[in-house]
Amino acid sequence: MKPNPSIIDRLVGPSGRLYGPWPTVGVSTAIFGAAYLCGINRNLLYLSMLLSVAIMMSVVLRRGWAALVGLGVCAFLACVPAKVAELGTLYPAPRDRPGAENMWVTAIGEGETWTYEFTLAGLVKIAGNADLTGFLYIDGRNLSGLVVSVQGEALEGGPFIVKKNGLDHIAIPLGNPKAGTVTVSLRGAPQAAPRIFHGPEVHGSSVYGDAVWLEFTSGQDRKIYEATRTMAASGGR
Amino acid sequence: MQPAQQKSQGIPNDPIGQPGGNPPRNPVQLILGIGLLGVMLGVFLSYARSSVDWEILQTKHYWSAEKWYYGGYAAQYFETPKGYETFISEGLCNYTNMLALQEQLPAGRARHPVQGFPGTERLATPFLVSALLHAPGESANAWGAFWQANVLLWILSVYLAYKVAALFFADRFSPWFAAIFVALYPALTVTFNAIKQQPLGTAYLLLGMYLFEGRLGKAGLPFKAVALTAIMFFGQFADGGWCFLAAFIFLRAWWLPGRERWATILWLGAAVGVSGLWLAWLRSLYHLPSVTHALGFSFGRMLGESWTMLASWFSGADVSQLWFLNLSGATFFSVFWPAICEGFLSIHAVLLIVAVAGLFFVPRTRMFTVLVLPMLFVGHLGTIMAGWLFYYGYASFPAAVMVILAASGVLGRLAGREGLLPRAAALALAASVCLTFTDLKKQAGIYYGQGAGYYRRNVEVRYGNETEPVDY
Repeated sequence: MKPNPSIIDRLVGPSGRLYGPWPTVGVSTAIFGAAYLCGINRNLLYLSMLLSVAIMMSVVLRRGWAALVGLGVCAFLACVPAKVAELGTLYPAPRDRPGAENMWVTAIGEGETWTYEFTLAGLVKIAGNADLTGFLYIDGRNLSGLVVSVQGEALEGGPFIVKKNGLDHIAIPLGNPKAGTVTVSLRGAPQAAPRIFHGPEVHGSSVYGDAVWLEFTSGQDRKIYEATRTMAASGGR
Repeated sequence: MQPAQQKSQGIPNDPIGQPGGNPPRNPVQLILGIGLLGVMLGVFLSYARSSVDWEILQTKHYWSAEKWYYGGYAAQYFETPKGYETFISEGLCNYTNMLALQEQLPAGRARHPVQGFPGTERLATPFLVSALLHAPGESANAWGAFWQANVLLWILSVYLAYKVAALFFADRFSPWFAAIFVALYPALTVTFNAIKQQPLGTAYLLLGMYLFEGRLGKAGLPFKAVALTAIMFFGQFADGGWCFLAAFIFLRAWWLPGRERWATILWLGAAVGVSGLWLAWLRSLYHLPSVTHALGFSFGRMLGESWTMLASWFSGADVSQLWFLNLSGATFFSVFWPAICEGFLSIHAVLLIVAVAGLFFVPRTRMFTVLVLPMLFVGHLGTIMAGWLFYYGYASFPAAVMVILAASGVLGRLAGREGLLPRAAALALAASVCLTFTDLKKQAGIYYGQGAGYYRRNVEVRYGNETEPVDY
């Protein structure tokens, strides 16, 4: 044998001896049954889980006092609910509910222009690298009807679209810009209703709510830029 | 003196020591003990205390904008004591389901249903976290309780790996090796800040192995049946834990003596059946969501389709329009299984080499080595059910447990030999295994799909006009 059993081994006691596991099983069943019958806790799902835990506990805790402590904890868990704060409505992910085309996206309204100003701080470190690639990425639905302006140059979204996890994914190459500001504007083509995916990036108390971002990659370095949206009504679409 | 706990039966005894004997000591044991403490301290300080949630990072677009969002993108953000945070939508139900578990009203009057995909199959997480929330002061930060649960799960897994190895190997070193490998194992170290707790299923497998091998061996049949039923019942909420454990016990039974083998298989079948009925009753009472229902998956249909495909294949017919294991044509053989094996090899190559060596030199390790492939298949059953072509590293954890135990047995045998060379070799091999586990960026790439190649060494995120970037 191992001459120095650990503290935990001493706590749970040697196997095969004991006072038997049945008293623990019986007492725990009585506790949960009483909690149910007295109306303290009528959640059969939770009580069932607790009972199975109590039975497993009876396999491990062989010393009488340890089993009593375990039973006390189980009784406490059965009778006293934990305080859990509500989160509000939880929506399923789009792919969990096929056809939920309007979930998790916001449509660019008729006559609206969404503008993002990306400040390219820190890009100078990799700006001169030959292998630098930069992309403007936009995720959403129906993006073939999206008109994207990058530094004032207007582009149709359609030619840049690939499918990504059921969504339209636009990747517009940005070349090798110098550090500064990149201004991106989005608007819908006539009769089109492009919808931009919610991609909430949050940092501290700031929220960057749309899946519109810049990515620059060179070797093992990648720089991501997030910007908040400003919205304006545009005339003459 | 009485043995502290019985050794597992039915596997050839290790020649270096009999169960219940007093195996020799040597300085390697002290080195391994200090090594385990050092590894746990290092993991805690470097990984656990880091605030990076690797899964939500992968879910975002930092590493894989080219292809897709993994696991459902975060659609909501919440105010937490640390400011606004987003959480992966697939795991978020682990929070909201705490409300369902803390209801005290009967099923028909409950305000909070169990929800999410997969909600029911991961209920053990909200159960564990809500238990922690009963402690004084905990309710102020429920998100912090997830982190605490992950740390506890990690410590428990390390302890159980030690105990399970001690049940199978009579030397003094194998348990330490197993504990060190599990302490560093990426499925646990990349998930300290996660709310999904994917390693829970494998931690449950370790718990079940410990209970089955170490605590239920001498129990009477009635209690064994009741305990196995309870273990299988709770395991149905533990991220596939019941399935991993049932597969292990079933396969392990073939190393038991004749009558005990059939009794074990019989009782296991009864326990799975009764626990399934228990859950089915609760499903009907609470309208619990089900992964198989959500996916429209049926085992019977899959087996029928697979049989038809195999029969057609062997007769030389075109199988491209048929299905095998929920994948079209021969995709399972040509794409899925090679991807799973490649992903598994990328992390466990050294461990596998050591385990395979044990097939020839350490008979007691053979069972675990033989079980690696079946457990790899069982671990990835969830992906097969969904029909996804994707390698999830944490789904390989059950197989990893087998290879870790086998390799630990071999290394323990080496470490117990006389002479400096075998002992140094054991420690060097263990160190090389540990090194493969330590690069979390690479591991996160492997663990959350897409492959390590998508992960960049230096990632910097600039938010709006903030002057300081965030580095990963």
